[in-house]
Amino acid sequence: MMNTSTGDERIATHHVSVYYQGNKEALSDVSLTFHAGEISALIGPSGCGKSTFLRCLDLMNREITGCRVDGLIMYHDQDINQHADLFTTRQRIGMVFQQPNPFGMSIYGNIALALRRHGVPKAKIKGIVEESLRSAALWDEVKDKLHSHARALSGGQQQRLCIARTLALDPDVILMDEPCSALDPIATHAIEDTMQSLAARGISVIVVTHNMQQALRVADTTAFFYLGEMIESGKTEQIFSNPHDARLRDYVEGRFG
Amino acid sequence: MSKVMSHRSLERLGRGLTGSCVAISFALVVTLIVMVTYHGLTTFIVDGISPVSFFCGDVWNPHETGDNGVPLLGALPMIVGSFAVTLLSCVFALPFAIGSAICIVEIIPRIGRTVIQPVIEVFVGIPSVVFGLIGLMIVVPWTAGWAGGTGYGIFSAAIVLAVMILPTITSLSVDAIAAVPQSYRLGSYGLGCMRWQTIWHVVLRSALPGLLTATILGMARAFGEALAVQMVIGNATAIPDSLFTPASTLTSILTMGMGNEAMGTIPNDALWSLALILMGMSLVFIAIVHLVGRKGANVHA
Repeated sequence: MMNTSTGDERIATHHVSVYYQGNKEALSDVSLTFHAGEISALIGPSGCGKSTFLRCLDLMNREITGCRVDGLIMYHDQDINQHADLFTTRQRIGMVFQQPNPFGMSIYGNIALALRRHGVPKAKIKGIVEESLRSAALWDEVKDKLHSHARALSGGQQQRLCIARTLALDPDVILMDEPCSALDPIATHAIEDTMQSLAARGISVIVVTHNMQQALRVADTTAFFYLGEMIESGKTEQIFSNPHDARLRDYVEGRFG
Repeated sequence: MSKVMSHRSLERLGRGLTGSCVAISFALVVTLIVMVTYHGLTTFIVDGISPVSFFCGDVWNPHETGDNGVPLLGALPMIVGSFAVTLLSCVFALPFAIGSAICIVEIIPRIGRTVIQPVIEVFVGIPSVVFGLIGLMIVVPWTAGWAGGTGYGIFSAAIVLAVMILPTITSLSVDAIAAVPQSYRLGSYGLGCMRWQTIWHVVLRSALPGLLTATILGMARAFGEALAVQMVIGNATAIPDSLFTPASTLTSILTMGMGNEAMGTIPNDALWSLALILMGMSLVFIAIVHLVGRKGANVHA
């Protein structure tokens, strides 16, 4: 993270197609590039394949029986499906889910769990917990109750805890699958601020959203998915103000959703 | 108007029918508790046996009197026997039950939940006398073979009970593990944890209240089982000096003695006292299950 500057290529996909059980094609021939320090939004109507695409990027597709991925997903110049170690990849590429899913344990335990599993020395864990909670803008709200139950937090706080949990592993890419869809506007705003501060640290943030306003507010680049295809991608401004494809134009103007 | 009336009386009939069902069941339970308590306490209140000598005495010989002229009613051997077989059977059964439950839910869910779990649940319904018979024919000779002695004793009883409660604990553990939200597992995978780490540190941990409930219900079944135990434990009313010498439990002494003692005699009252202890223990088990359940519900709310 320290020796990378904004704009470096972080993840690039080349002709990625995804098939679910029974050879059903869920995603067809997607080529996209994501850069360090940028927020990229994936938009499109429900079932367009944007979440499927996101899952491929940290190999979560391997948890779905019968799911097959074709094409190349290059991360630090290596195809993650060929060379990378599944478990290391998932530490370096973090995932934040749609529903906040803290484990049924304490706030501290939620962050320490993966650190302990990955062999981080006990003495270091406490510092990392504080640092990652600060990065996720949650520290001030929870510093006095680190050992109380995570499920007692509000939805927005739980989601920021999940972000902190991911940050603790020092990722350089963070994937977010509609991270605000279960949250109220104030909590959404807090998460968006967090996204921007992550990007400012050089992390590549890739966020799936069905909320076009959110894409407009936070994303540097935007890609539009429709019926399993990536239709158009570019600078967010251009995507929303001057879309080339007719389907994207209709979607942006709210004719379908 | 008449139609409205008939609707209303139908409602009243329904309420009356279901209400009386509840009332009868409830009355039965209350009557039962009162009756067992009444007879159980007779030993102490009417017959004047001191509770201390009852719970701490180690000689059970209701038809003889001791030096002080009081019948020899020391229930300690049976109390020790009951707790010993219950705990030991749990120690035997738990690793297999939890292990199978993990395999059924996490490793081979498709076959596990459609084939193996139903088969295991069939085992829950096998009458205990069958287990007792198998214990008598196989476990007792086997134990005698390598441990010496007759083979009758706490060890054999615990093995038979372990096999009996294994399906109960397994089945309930499967439900507890399956109830852990899938999002916990995905969250753990997303943090680069391996499957085993996820199962051990996230899934089992979250399922803990349910696993405890499963264990306690298994223990309750073991504690209350009479027939199968009686067939293999040897029924000696003395505190055994090893797991391989004949012993007895509250239930085995009850089933053996109940038909032989005349109602209203001190030996009969003493059996009621044993029943009272059994009932009290099962109430404790149920209370623990409810407490654990409530704690679990709070955690996942």
